[in-house]
Amino acid sequence: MSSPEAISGQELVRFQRVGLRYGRGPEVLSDVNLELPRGSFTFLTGPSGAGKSTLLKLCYLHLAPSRGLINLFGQDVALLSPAEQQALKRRIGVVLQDFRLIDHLSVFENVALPLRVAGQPRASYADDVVELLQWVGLGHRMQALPPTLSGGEQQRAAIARAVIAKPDLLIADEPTGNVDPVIGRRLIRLFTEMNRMGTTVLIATHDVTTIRELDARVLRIENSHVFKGLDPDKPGNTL
Amino acid sequence: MSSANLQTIQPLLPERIENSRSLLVVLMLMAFLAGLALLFSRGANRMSDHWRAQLSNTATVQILHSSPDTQQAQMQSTLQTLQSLLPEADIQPLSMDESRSLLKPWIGNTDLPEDIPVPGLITVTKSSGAINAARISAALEAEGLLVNVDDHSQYARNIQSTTRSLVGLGMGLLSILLAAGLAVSIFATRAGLSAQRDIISVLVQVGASNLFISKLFIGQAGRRAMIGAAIGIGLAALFWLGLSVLKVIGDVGWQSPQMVILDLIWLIGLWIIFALICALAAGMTARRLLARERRRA
Repeated sequence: MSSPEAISGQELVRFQRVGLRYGRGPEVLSDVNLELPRGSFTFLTGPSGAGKSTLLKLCYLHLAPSRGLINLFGQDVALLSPAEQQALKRRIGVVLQDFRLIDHLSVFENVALPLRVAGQPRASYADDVVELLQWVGLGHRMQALPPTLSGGEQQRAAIARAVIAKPDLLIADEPTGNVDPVIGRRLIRLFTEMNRMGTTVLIATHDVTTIRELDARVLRIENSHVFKGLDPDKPGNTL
Repeated sequence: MSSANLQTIQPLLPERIENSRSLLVVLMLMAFLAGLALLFSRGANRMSDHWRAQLSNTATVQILHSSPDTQQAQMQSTLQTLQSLLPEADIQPLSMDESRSLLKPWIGNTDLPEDIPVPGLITVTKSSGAINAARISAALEAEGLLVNVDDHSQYARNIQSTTRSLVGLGMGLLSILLAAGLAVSIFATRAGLSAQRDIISVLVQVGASNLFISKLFIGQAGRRAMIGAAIGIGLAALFWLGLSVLKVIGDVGWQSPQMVILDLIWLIGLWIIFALICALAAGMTARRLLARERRRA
């Protein structure tokens, strides 16, 4: 079982020659080497269909690589038991493009889900959930069911769910894609705040403006490979 | 949002899923039949015990080969011997008319000729304890009386054997119904896992273990089975009570408040077992399928 103390290196995530193919198809990701230092803030960009979401899925253990080594929190994930993998997942917050909110649960319950799954007593987290929902502008929609929310509201609820457990690693797939610029900036501020408090953040986005606004690491996927920086022609931008 | 609303914990799996009402009806019907099978077995057993208890303390002494001239004297000697042997028993000789009437099932409702030899019969009834036929026979034979003592043990054995078959049948039916409940629960869990794939995927994503998710299915199936079984078994109890009040099938129903309580305890036990079987089957199925799913991933 992993624990914060078990992290030996500076990298929270390390990929070594990772390749992934679906079935017998071509490799979607090929020989990917990347490192996410502990406490880093990284953007992942690249054209649509380049494999950004796939790379994120490998990071949050939704997929296992076809080859290569993935090291999370200092542990080789291939050697972990299912229970240990689930324990690791509880340290990762994930925001997906399709939000994945549970329709029959209220916004409050959706956001509280990671804490409930972790077995925390309700009284210990109810105030935190309320505070976070107010912060993301959903204070008045706590009892609403997800199907009654707008796309932007659903996205904010999904983000709140991802960050409520104060994860060590936060992974977001196009988190500002469905919200207006004001809310988008606010959400990015939430991510930077969390990063400042020690959470390692990895965000996949097309939004170059947001990337340029922040002084953060940038990884770019192109032709199944991962490169450093936004500019493919800049020297030294190959990982 | 009020704090009262925050205290209400919503179930992670939806209570109302597709076909959940039909599933509840199926469970209810199975529990109803299982309840009836249990009550039928217990009723048959009780009826058998009751009849055998009545038979065990009675005997019929038949005076053999007596001619009309000597029959009365033999009857008197037999009566005296029996009274000295069993002073606490109720010993009643049957009159000739009563003895003749016993033949009516075989020869019809016609008057018998006066000269037809009808054996003398004496009934012996003890208020408590079984009658020892061998001891009575030996005592009467020692007095030189030629008699046949029937303690109805053959009839009691037949009743017992028939009852065993009936109870076995009832228990067999009960086992089949419990197995069907288990199968229904497995089927419903498979369907539930498939229908709630999105929810399961979110739970897995936020770090829920297989055990955690299995417990959700245990709770869901357990609640459903408890409701279905409570209604089904309750209806079986009412149906059985109706039968016993109306005496439709003899004395197999509830005969006394004591029996009512005992049968109710058995029914409550069946209710718990039924719900447990359904819940555990759901939990084991969910855990097995989730593990298989993880291996595939």
